[in-house]
Amino acid sequence: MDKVVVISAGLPALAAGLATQGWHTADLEPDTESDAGSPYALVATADDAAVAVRRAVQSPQRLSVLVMVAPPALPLPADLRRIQCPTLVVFGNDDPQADTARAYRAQIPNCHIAFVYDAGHDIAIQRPQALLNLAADFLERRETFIVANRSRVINP
Amino acid sequence: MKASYLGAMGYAHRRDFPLTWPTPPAFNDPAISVQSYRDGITECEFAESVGFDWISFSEHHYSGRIATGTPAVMAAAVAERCQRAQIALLGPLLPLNNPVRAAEELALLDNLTNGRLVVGFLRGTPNEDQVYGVNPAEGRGRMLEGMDLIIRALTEPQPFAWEGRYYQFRTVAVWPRPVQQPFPPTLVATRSDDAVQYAAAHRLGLGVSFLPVDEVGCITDKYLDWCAAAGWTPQPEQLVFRGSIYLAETDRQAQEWFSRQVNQGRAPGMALRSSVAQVIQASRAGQPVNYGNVFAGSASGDILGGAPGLTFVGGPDTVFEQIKAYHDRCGTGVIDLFFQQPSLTHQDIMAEIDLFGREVLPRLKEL
Repeated sequence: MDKVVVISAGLPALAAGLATQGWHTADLEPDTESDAGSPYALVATADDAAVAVRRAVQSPQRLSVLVMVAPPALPLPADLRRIQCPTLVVFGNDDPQADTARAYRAQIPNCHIAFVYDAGHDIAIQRPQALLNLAADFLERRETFIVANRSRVINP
Repeated sequence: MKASYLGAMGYAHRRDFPLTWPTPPAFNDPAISVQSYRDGITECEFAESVGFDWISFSEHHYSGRIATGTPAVMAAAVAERCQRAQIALLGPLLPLNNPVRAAEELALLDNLTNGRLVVGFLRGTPNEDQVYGVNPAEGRGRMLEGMDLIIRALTEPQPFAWEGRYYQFRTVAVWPRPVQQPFPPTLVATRSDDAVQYAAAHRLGLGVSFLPVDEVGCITDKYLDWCAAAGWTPQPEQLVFRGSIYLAETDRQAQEWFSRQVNQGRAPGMALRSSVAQVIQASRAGQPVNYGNVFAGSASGDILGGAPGLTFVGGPDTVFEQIKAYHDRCGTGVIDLFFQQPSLTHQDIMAEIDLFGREVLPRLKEL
């Protein structure tokens, strides 16, 4: 099955990085959902958070996994409790709004939160490789990303 | 001003050690070792009874001079015997340790002590870079990230993942939570500008060790300036200085003892072969290493630390004035004292603690 990810236009480097890992990428078009095949993953910035939540709620069969990058602080987007797909909420550890992550985790039924070290609100600019590694791991492995799969064998 | 007793837990026969580090385990007799820890705990209890405010512990490896490679274990044992003093873990060596494990140990200690824990973040002395296989060039970065991760781990009420430069965790959920909220009083033990700036920016205390008063003053001046720029003023007990001490009844007795140490070549500090020290310093700085020099020199002629470097030496009046100088020049609010000089016995240490408690400590508390 093709790996398709729809990404906010504000994350071009992340899109390029995912493309090198075998993902078919498409820009998120807020007004239409015909921008990707079915099913697809979605990575959204704060500006697209409301759209992302709406897609997750209205098309649970199509939206397989969701990553929200530095989503908005209070008030939180509506309908978070109705999101069914595995969701990762990412904040820069230095983002003044980083503590908001726990509110997302409390509301979204299947939500993981992650902090990117040495990043503020603009994670994609400040730590692009870290964001790519984190997002790609979650998109690929979803909830199973909680278990490390990198080999640490030194002398096999 | 407050006083802290460093629970070094030195091995009783440490005077017989070679001057180099690491100390071969062959020098350790378990029977003597067990008694040494018992004596060390007794010294901590006695220090508390004469009025020391903190009992501190420090992570040092592969040596019987400061024999607490796992300081949290030692702190837990002493905390059960010392029920009043604050327990200061100064500290875990962040570049060497899993920060999540360190956070768990700190949180547990704060529970076991019912909120008496003080935390110090420390990079470690250069010899420690040999211990757990961490690249010395990564030490500073690991320390800076480790501090962020530990604070996040102690304060975040929900499970989280961490995507760092040196650390990656997918599930962190430290249990128990610290008694002291949001986290125990914490200082950064450092001389380096970036870590001093970190302390100032995060409203953490500052710890400095074993430097002359004017050099410490230069560091604390910068720290206080950066704190002011960040909009806050540290409390006195957020300025900690650790020094080594030999206290005698009179200045003359102290100087005679000190002269004997010099003549016998007994260095209070830890010694490294200079070639090894150069390798580590070069590695820390990311500079090329001249491996041809690593094995140069003789065992007896390639020693650092041959000149004893005690911070405080003298009778009570002199030692009081020496410590007061740090208070007056540097704003030091807590003096952390290393009493266990290599040539001293348990009985010597107990006598020193007694003398310090009678003749020095009451005056320090009035500062």
